[in-house]
Amino acid sequence: MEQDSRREGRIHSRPQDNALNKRHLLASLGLHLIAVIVLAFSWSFSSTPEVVVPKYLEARVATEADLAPLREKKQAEERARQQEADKRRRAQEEKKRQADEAKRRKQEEVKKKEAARKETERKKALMEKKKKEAERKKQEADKKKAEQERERKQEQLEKQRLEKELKERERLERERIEKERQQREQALAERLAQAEAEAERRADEMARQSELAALEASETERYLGLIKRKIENRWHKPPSGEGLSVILAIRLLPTGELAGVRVKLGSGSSALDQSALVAVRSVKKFPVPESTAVFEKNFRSFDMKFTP
Amino acid sequence: MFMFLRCLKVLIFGFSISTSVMAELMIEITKGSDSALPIAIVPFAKQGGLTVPEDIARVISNDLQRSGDFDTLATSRMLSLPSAMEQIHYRDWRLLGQNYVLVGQVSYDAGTQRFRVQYELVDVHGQKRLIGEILSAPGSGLRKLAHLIADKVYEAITGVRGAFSTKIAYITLKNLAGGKQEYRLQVADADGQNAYTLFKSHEPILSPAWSNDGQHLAYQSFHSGRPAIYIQHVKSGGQRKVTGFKGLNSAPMWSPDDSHLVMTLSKDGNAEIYTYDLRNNSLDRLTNHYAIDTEASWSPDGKELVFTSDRSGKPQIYRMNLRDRKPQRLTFEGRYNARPRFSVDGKSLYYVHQVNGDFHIAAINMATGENRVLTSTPLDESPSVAPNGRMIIYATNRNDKGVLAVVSVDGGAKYFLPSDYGDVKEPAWSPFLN
Repeated sequence: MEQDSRREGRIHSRPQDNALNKRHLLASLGLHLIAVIVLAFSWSFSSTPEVVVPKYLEARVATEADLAPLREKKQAEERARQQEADKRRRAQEEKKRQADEAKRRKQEEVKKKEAARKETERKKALMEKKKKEAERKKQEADKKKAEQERERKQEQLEKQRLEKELKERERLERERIEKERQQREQALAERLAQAEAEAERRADEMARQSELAALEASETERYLGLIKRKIENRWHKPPSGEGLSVILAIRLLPTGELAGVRVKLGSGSSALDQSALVAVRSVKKFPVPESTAVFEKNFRSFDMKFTP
Repeated sequence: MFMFLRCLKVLIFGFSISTSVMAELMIEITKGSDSALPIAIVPFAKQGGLTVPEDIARVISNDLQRSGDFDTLATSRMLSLPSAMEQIHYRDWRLLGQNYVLVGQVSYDAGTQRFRVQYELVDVHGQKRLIGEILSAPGSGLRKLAHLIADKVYEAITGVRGAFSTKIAYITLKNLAGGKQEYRLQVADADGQNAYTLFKSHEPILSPAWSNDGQHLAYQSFHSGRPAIYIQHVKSGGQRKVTGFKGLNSAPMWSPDDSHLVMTLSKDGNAEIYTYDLRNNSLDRLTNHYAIDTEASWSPDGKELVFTSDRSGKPQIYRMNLRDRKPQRLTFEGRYNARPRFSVDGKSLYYVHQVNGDFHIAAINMATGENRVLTSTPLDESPSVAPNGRMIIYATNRNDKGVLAVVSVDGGAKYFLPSDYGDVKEPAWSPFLN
């Protein structure tokens, strides 16, 4: 039985990790425990024939107590015989009772055994049933699990497929963006290169122009200086004009002759304004550049500011 | 970053192009000619062989020439002698390098017995008349009239009022036979002509000073035997004694409103500066120092005085605000700086400055302390400023004789005034008189 239970336990203790199986295991353990206890009790009853031993010891004490008065030996023997007879009779009775008892016990034993057997059978059947049920359930579970596993695998596959697709899409998108970025960068670089080229072209142009301009400027500078010196030599600062200034607008002919002069911004001192006008008008011929372009640019008309 | 810089470069380049295209041409003239302004004073035409007692054009020409501001054309160089604007051939005067031509004519009105003088000042280059008018004067007034025309020409061209009609006062000293000396207080036209004696004495006369209304002269005289300060009315000759304290009574100068004289008195034991109120004859002592304080002069705004003091050990010039009366030293260059006079604008002082043993007239800018020497004659003293601020008259020595000289305030033109009567010194230029 113990082996059974162990076997059962082993069966039940198979690693089937679900709550139902655990419950079954506990239930069967409980039942077995009960059965063992019951059986143990019945076993202890059947194995206690020396229950009367204390009575026997008592009897011996009583015999010893009768030892002292020897005179009463016959009586004693009588009593002993009687007692022996009683004893025998009692023993026979006892024997009979014991036999009855044993018989009854045997019958009870048989009955118990039958009951235990039946119980065991029942338990076994139940166990079997449970086992079958468990197996069925296990199979179902396994099946379900397999199903789930299959689904899981399928899902995983699907997921992997999706992930792969996503990654692919992302990669393509990245490539597209990078390509666009490169295109834009290239476009910008081209534009800048163009602008730079344009700037350089313009710089070259300007350099050329500025060479011309430098020539013109030096011409302009030279003649401005000449005009300035000429005017300075002819301007008689009036002593009254301190802190004032007058601006004249001057127009020249290409020959250098004065075409016109007027007070553009008067000083408020007629003597100062007059002194400036006289200085300008006293110049017979202004030094002007021969280049028509330079003349037209700066010398056709210009302003002159007199500050004493 | 690199891209950015390139962008920037392009931008800047583009911008710099657009900015370089404007800027109108403006020639700045701040320096002028050092030479005097060329002007031709054409001899005034005389109608009908008229005899005119005064060569008007010559008087005008001399006035302008002496000012240092004008260079007059010699008559001998003139190509023509126009007497009115319409007669002017501008080309001629341009060829002669003249900026202005003064033309005029004189006629005589027998009825009024006055001369009629017409003049026109013409701008040769602008070919236009600047000023012109008709004036009249008796024969004796023609010189004065000429000075007046010179004033007008001067003002028309320079913008500064002419001072040719003003007068000068000065002291002459002549050694007489028998070891005696004669001092004279004289008044003359600004050109030194028409001199006459206002007061004379065998004792020294010193420090004549014009009142600002031009009516009086204050001066120091010893003629009573000891120094005293007098005021004399120029036209009437009436004289009155102002102070005759014990000791010094010297260096009188008028306040701008003529209500006070500032003077040096030593009545309290030492030469100190006082103001004398001519309205109530009261004195106010301004200095109190054991050193000599003297030769005070009033600023044009009447708020302060300048004077000479040797409180530093040597004569130096000090200024004193009349409100707080705290002397403040002005001159630090040289061992001798004395006899200060304000410029007309009150910004500068003219004074006697000793350089290498010689005494010259110098000018100092009171704000900056910047000074410059104006004269180069050896014993220059007693500067006095013309009322238009353009000239300074001073006394100097020439051929061991005291003479008067004039220098323009910029140190340019210099000339001596004729002296026909001994040593001349202590000149004082009058205010405007008309």
